[in-house]
Amino acid sequence: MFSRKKEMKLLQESEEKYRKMIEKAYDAIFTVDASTAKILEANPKAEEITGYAVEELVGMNVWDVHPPEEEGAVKELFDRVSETGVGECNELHFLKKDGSQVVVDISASVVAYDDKKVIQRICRDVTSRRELEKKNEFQRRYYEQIFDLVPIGLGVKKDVDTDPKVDFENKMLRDMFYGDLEDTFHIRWHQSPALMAVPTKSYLEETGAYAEERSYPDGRIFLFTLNYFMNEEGSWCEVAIAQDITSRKRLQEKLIKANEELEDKVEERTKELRQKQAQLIQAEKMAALGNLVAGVAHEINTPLGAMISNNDVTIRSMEKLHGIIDKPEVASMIHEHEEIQKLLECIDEMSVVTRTAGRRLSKIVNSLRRFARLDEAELDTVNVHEGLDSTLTLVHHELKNRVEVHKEYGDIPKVTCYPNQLNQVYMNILVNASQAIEDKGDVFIRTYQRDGSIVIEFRDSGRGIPKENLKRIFDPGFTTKGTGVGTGLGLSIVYQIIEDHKGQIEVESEVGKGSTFRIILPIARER
Amino acid sequence: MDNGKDQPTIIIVDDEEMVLQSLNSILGLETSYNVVSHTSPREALQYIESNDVDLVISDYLMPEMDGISFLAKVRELKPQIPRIILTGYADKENAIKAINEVGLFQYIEKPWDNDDLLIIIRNGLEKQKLLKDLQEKINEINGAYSDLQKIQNEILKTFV
Repeated sequence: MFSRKKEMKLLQESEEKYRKMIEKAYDAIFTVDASTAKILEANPKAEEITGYAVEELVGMNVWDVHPPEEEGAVKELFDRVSETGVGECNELHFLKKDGSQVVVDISASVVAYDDKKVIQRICRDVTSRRELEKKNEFQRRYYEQIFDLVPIGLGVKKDVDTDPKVDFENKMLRDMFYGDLEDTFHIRWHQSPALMAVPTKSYLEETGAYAEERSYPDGRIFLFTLNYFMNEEGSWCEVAIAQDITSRKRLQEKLIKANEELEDKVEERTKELRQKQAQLIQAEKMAALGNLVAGVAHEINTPLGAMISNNDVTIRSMEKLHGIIDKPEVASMIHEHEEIQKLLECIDEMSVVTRTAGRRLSKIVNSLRRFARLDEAELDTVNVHEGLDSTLTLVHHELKNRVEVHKEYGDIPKVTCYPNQLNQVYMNILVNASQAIEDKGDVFIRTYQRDGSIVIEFRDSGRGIPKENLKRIFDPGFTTKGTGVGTGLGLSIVYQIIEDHKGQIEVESEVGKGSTFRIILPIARER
Repeated sequence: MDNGKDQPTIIIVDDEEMVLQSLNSILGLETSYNVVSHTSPREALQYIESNDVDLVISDYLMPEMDGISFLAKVRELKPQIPRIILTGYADKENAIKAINEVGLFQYIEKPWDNDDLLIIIRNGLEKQKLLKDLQEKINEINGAYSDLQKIQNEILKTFV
């Protein structure tokens, strides 16, 4: 008995404790009849959330505190709990007595109560939490909408070094990868822990970023960048940025191309200028040479004139002397003096040699004069062969006893040209030919007509020009002769002069066999 | 050969003595002209002014006076004398221009050929002689004409 009493007392005490707990509970707690679904009991929190007093609540159906549209859901939960013993449902609402609503999460379970089966429903008011969540969601959407308008692909991944999750991707990033552009970068960005195999903390701290550029078959070029930062929670986040840099790249390429073209142009102009400069230098040299030749010709011609004339007087005197000597009376006298005979012969022979020497000297001065064409510095119509011959006289010292010149002059009309310039051309080519011949060799000079032009061809048996040099021989400053021997201007001047004459120059050469230079000049129009 | 008085007189002017000597030698050998040589154009002009001269040969480039100016002065003094220039200067174009300006008889380049030189001189002298003869004939005619006039006057006087 006592023990039962005591037991009863204990029971009462625990019941009291439990009631207090229920009364103080944060959640609304309802006790519902499992067979009728009628509310049997409710705690003060239930009064607060529903706005009904406990007395009003007791006897109501469980769904009566919900808005009518949720009656089905509430009944369904009730049935489920009755059947299985437990159940829960979130995001239900209480229709309060004043008509307003609160959001509730409900969990329910069957309990035995006074030998009766009842359902205990614990309902939590989550209105404010839901509102906060909604607010957060709105905020997120707000930023997402902003980021969707950004014209670069942007994505964020959280916890890259432990449990990587894509947190955010903007529209641009999603749009960038479609169809056949499905791309390893994107796959890696989505599936792998991070872009790098293992982006270790130290690596991330050190570099902070990773970038790569990639071209696609459709011509687009992307720049991918991964940046890392540590968020407030101390985990690494990855920010992926993808930029379509196609147009920037194209522009860059165009710029580079334009730049290259500009450089080419500058080079070309420089070359032209160098050529013009070389020509100017040459023109100046020729003018100086002209003055020199004029002076030299005068200085030489006077004594030469005297010498030739005197020698001629000697020859004439000797002839007269012979006329006297040959008279029989004198001849017999002379015969006795062999010495006189010998001396006379000596004088005769020497005067002949002197005459030859004088003529040669006179010819050289003439060639020099004609070469410089002091009398014809202007455009003129001349015979090419005369120019060739006077030039040959001048380079005679360079060729004699070593290079044999073979002339094959064809029947060609006169050309309208600057004769001294053309002579300069022949001179340069002939001197080159001579220098290309190491020991003994030949130079063939041929002139002929071809397709309305005249051709002056110089073929030598020299060492020839290597292929790699052939393109450059007309460049100003190019020389293989070494400093002091050639100026490197000769052929560039030749080229320029021929171009000024509206002509062309052709070169053929074979190492070890020799070179052929062909000057092609338009035939002079009758003036 | 030695009757110098009948022979033509030739003046040669060159600042180079050797040229004068050469010309003297060839002319002395092949002709019997009276050859008078001068290294100074001025002295030559003085000579020409006061003597009978049949032909003048001058160098082109001389320090005192160039050949063209010299020959121009000769022309002023005695226009009928044939003038020849002997030049070692290479500028043919200028020389030709000068020849036309001064009215030269010939232009000879140094070094000259003696045969050419002799022919040119001979031609020049011939021209000079012809001109001289012509002048003489004109003078004769003029003289005859004035004689005739005199006679005519006398006849007129006699009649009147």
